[in-house]
Amino acid sequence: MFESIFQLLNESKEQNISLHELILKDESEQSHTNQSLIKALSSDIDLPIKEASHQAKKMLSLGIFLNTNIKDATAWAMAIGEYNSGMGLIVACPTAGSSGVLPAVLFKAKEILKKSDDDLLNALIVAGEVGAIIGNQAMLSGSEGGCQAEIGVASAMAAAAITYMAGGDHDQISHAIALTLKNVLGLVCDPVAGLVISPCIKRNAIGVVNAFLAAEMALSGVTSIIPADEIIGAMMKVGRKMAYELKETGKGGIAATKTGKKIKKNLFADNE
Amino acid sequence: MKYTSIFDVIGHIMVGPSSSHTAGACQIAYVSQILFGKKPKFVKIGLHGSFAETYKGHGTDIAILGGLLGFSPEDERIKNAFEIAKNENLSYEFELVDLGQEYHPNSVSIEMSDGIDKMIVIGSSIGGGNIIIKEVNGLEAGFGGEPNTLVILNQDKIGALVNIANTLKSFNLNIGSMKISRNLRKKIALTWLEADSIIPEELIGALNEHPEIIWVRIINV
Repeated sequence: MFESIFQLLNESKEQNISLHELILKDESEQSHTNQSLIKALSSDIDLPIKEASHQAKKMLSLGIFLNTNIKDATAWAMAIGEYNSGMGLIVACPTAGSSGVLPAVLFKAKEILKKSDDDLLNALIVAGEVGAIIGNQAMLSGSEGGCQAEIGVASAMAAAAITYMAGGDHDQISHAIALTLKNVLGLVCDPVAGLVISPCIKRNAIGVVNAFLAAEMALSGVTSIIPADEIIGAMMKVGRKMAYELKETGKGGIAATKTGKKIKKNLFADNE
Repeated sequence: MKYTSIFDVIGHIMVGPSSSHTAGACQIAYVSQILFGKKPKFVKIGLHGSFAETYKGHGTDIAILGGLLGFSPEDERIKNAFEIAKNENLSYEFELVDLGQEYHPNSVSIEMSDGIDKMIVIGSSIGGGNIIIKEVNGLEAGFGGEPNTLVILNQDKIGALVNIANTLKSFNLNIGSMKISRNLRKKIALTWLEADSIIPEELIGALNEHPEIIWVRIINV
């Protein structure tokens, strides 16, 4: 594991080795597993959406303000979120509640950029390393750091991955991570009735847009004045200062609204 | 470092919706039935803290019952656990309990019996689907769901540990970590250790040859 985004990108530059190869080499050494096996472990990938349901389906139907790409990807992310809420089988990435962002963004980027499965896998490897660095420097759960540590991290992982997939250079990848995290710094975790439904499903959609926005900004030369690692540090401090009610307890934010409380009451009363 | 692999972040593969309230809860129950060592016929599940507050919406109850039926967190049969429990004649009872402040908010006590033997396991879901088993039949524990974990209940006698260590040596297994908790009155001890490589099933038989060993379980999840 690399200690910081800077260290990761710098070693890749200095050793003149591509990011995914460097990460794979490190992962292989750490886990005593050969590189081809690690790739095989992660190669059985398919977008797990057979049929979008509920709100994701509505999202797919229109397209007034969003172009087809963004519209599709947000709908996919919501569909995975809905599937997860209904006890569907998912890959927590980095968490179950935020598991829609990465597959939606990666598969759509692959389609847009006309890339291969192998390119997608390489981007996924980069995403994994970025997530692990953020996890070690800050946190990866709503209960420890709010939604910034779930959807925020998922979108930073996705932004880094697609900037890499699109051929962005090291600095652009770093800016993409920084811009994504900045956009949602301080986002609270406030599930209504404590359930991974509202706002979680739709936050997967904003995670998708956040990732595409940051990647597009970084690739077009927009920069973050604060470096990625310092923003991760800020995220950690914000997460620690965040009140208990705002960290996955279902006791703050939209969960504590009049309607939020009413939903909780009705839901659990019905179940008695 | 908390995260040492990209697969710590991309994964677990699990049935939703929550890594702590669904996957972790299922894992505690799954490990519990391995510790019990046979199919339980009656289970009593005590939900503590946050598990008690939100278990219905998160599927915590279904996930725990699924784990007790032998389903691991990625097993899609979990969804039908209530129905399957009925078909397999597993009777269950849920209750809300207060285990006390020292327990993690996501904790559960699981009492299993088959009419002959009884075991009570207390476990906590500590985030991201990771768990810790805190207590086995009143004996303090502290193992999680890491692969290659060996759990042994033995009589608290001189030489018990030497016999365990020698048996592992004869199987060419290196011990990475080892802990013991004891009940001085009952003169029994719970020993748990992590090996560096896969623990073969044959080890159980070899350990059972020592008269002070009461039971041996391999947890390889």
